[in-house]
Amino acid sequence: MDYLLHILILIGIYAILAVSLNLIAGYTGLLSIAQGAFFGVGAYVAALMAIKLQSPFLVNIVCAVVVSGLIGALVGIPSLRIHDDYFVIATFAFQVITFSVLNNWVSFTRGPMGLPGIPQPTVFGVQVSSDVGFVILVGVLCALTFWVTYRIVRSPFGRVLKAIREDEVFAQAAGKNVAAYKVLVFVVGAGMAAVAGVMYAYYISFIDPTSFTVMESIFIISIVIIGGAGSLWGPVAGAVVLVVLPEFLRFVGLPTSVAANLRQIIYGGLLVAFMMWRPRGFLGEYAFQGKEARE
Amino acid sequence: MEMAQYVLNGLIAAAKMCLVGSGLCIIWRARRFIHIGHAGILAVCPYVALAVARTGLPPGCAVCAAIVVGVCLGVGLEMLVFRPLGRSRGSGLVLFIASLGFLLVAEGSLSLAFGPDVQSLSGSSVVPGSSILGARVTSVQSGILVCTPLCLLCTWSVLRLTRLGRQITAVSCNRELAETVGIGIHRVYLCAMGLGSLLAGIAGIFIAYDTAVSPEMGLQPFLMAIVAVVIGGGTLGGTVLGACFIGMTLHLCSIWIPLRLQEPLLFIILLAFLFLRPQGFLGGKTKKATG
Repeated sequence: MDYLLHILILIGIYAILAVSLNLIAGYTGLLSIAQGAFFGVGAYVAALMAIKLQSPFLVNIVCAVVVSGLIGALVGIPSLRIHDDYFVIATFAFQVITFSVLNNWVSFTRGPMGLPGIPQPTVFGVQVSSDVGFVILVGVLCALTFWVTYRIVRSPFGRVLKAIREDEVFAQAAGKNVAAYKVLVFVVGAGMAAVAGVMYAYYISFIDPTSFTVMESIFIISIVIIGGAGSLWGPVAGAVVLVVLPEFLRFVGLPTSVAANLRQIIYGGLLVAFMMWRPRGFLGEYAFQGKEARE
Repeated sequence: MEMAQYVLNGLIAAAKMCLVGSGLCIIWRARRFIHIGHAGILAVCPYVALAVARTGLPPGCAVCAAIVVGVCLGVGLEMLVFRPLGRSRGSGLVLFIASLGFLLVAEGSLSLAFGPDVQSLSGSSVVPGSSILGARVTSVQSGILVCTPLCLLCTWSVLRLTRLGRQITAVSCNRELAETVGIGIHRVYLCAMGLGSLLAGIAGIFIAYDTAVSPEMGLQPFLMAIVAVVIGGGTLGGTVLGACFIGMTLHLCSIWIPLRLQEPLLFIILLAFLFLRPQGFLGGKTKKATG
């Protein structure tokens, strides 16, 4: 039962991450390899505040979202001048630089030694200590994130995002401030990823930079792509599939190292397979095609 | 350390970046996507050499076998994955994601087959190197410094002087026009991937001999090479310039800043170029948002 709860919590965290990236990549068409960085920033801000300032959970989460949002804006700004391939590389750069800051600023983040002893969160006077409590907390935050995404996507703001994805020049010509929308979507996406980071920090109660590397970003991208970009439920489906899948491998009785490698091979194989046969993923609507491909 | 040593280290790093970057650049320009799977081929070739060497065959055979496998992998990828993705959904992002999938499969398979530990290609003996102008250099590193300009020269000649090479250049400049003139696009793609993977194989073997072999060994050189290509402006000559610039800058800066900050410095340089001079050293006008 504990194991099942643990899986549910992980699914919740990764669902939030996937939904956040989906807004940026699936709805606005900006593939970003920086989501792991936002995840990490959120986790570290909350952890540092909880450990050093003993500030309450809600304050920490708000601060994590704000800081991550600011960094998101920073990442979004290059998207105004550089596009496609070059922009992906730029997000890569942000991811690597963020990881390096987390890993090397030892006086502040304790670098590779990580931050142990993150206290348990207290929400509205109730201390969350059991797995059931965490499942409920993650579930609530997940639902909240999903609801926010739902409102965004159904709003005029969301329609402009999709317009930018489909034909950026046309959106600009129609008078939309494309620059503002792009930066804003990064702010929102980064903020959401920070929420996942905060939950991760509190749940595991220990964080270190190795959880927030390029591979983490790639994992989040895989979830969005396989689950389906550009739809509401796609990322959630992807999170379920990609979190549960490696657990099956464990049940088959393979040693951990073999299972970890097999997991990576399966993710890679799924990515290739989906691109060849169903680029929109399980439930997605956006298949990462450029305009040329659709003509 | 003497200044000469820093300069030499910078040159060696630049040479490695040139090798990786030139292959990457050829594929990028011809095929119009970032072939991150290139990093996978960088890692696979040394392992093939390792496996062949373990069967007792001479190192020369091992290296040849490795490079052949690398080229076959690249060509195979083109035939089995990238070409079917072709026109119907072959936008840059889709190909990039498929290439990323290949990288994950390659690294996972290598780790599964050979174990995740770092291994050595050159055996256990540590051979003292020689000395140039006060800087120490190993024989492998001398090999890199000599071979890289040779490889670049050969590549340049192939692209400029052979018919196939000129076709690759033509497709890189203007695919539609090349098609109209009757150049076989798919054959060009195959050759570009083959040529790029050949360079990747050579680079991988050199890097493996100079440092070590591990399943994730490809990503780091790939990242450095891609920065070299981008700040070089996307052309072969630009890549060489970019590689030299980065190599020298990073290693000369290591006089003052700790080594572990080299990676973020690399990417800060990249971001600076992307913001201030996106066309790089030798690039033309940058692509605007299309459509």
